[in-house]
Amino acid sequence: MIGGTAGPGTMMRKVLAAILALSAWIAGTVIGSVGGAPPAAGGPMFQVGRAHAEFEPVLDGKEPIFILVLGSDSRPGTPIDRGLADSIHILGIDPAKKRASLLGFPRDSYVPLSTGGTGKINAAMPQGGPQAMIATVEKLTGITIDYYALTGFGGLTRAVDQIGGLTIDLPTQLVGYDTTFPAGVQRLAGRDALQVARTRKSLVNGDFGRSENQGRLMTAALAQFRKEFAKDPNRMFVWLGAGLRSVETDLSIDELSRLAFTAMTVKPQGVTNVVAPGTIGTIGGTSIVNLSPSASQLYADLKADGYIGAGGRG
Amino acid sequence: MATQDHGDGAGQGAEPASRVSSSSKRAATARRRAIVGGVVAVLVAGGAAFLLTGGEDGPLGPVLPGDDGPETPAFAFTVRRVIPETTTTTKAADLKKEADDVAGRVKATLDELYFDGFVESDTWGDFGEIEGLFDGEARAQAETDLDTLTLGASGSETFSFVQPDEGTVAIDVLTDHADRPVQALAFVKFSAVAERDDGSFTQVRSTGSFFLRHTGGGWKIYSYRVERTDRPTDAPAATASASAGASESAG
Repeated sequence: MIGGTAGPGTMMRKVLAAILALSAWIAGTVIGSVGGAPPAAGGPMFQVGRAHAEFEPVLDGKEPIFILVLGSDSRPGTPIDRGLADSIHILGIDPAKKRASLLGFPRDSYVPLSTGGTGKINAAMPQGGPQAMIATVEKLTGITIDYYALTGFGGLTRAVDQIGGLTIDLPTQLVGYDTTFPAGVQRLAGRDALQVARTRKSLVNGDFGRSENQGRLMTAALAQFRKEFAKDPNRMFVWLGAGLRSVETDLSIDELSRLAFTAMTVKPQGVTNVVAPGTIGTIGGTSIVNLSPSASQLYADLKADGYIGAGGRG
Repeated sequence: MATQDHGDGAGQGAEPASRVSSSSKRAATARRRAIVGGVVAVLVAGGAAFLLTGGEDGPLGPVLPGDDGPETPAFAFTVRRVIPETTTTTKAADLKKEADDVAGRVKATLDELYFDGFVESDTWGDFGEIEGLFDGEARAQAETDLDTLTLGASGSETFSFVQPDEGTVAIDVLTDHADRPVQALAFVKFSAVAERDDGSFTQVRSTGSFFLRHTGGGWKIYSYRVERTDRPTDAPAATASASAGASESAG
């Protein structure tokens, strides 16, 4: 007889089945409890998890930071710190509110010099180097300068080339000494950037416009650095390398790194680019700029928190 | 099969008494055999389970935790490339040796961070094990970011074992005005399969960049930007094949 009733064979099959099931349960329990294959359908599921952690050692605190940024016109054979300072800006940083201002001075500004007497502000450097420039600017503005950075024609050109060029948005056409730059966004090579920084004669407001363009170059650099660093942190080292090869400064690499991280928190829209106001005059047949009394308000504004309000936006 | 129970090939119509008696004896024998077989099967299953999990010498010893826990896998990053970044006119190629030396020390810092943070179960979630790898303000922030920088403060409550399967690092070394290495930037890619307490598996990936600087105590992290991504995954190949083997042994 095949099947039909519960004979001895059926009994044995049940016993065997029970034993196998027991064995499987034992094995499954033991192995499963220590991490065998994961449960199939119906097993525990969990969502994809994504977490981000970031820390950048930015400058913080309530105290503003002031850096005197100088451009020397030294020619070959003259040390960079003994040339005339033809580009003079105070970079103020307000770390608390993550904003900054550039206050430029026309190079012909006629002011009391730290080295003695009164003269064009740019003459302080040939007489006493960056320290004389710092002292002169401090005396003029009442602002204590924390650091300085000084470059020259070659330094600016090399630095811009080594970062791969600089993208700038010019509000109007600029007729340089051998190139005309159209209004709008464009990429400048090193020598182009130098031309934008130096061009004065073709500008309606001469030295004031030149100082404003120099501030525009620095703001463009900030915008570009932020963009590049966000994509690739290695750009920090590239920019530091390009800068330190081309700039003389009393900032250490650690301080520069911290400033660079801080720059990441300052949006270019949060940077005001201002030139000290004044009128053109002459003394002994030499063209000078007499700074306006209203400039004092800019100094006070900048000194207070490292920032010149929107009224002074360049 | 039923016919096997009647080994003589019978099965047709009524059976003689002698044959019924014979059938009863065979049935009793079969029951005894079944019971003995069952006991043997239980012993075999138990033995298999013991062999599989009972020690480091078992086939799953290295990947399945036993009473004493599994052996922690070794882990170290592979350095993909090292680039010197100079701040002088010295050619980068001339500083390769100095950069390579620093890269070795930077790698050691990161090896320790990822081993203690992800691989060594005894140190999961223990900030004290890794805080010395961070410098300055980054140290306090790292404690806040522990769940991203490591398997997490509750890692030991969620995971039982982590098998790293990839770790690469690319290192840039910044030199100062005297061509001395002063900072490094490390780009890290780390991947591992973590076994959860419920028996499922998670692929853990950590990618990011670490800025390090030389301090009196070595090369320490002072800035970082790290992303950790967890997603469900299948059992790793070694464990899957071992589990299949275990099933065969148990069956």
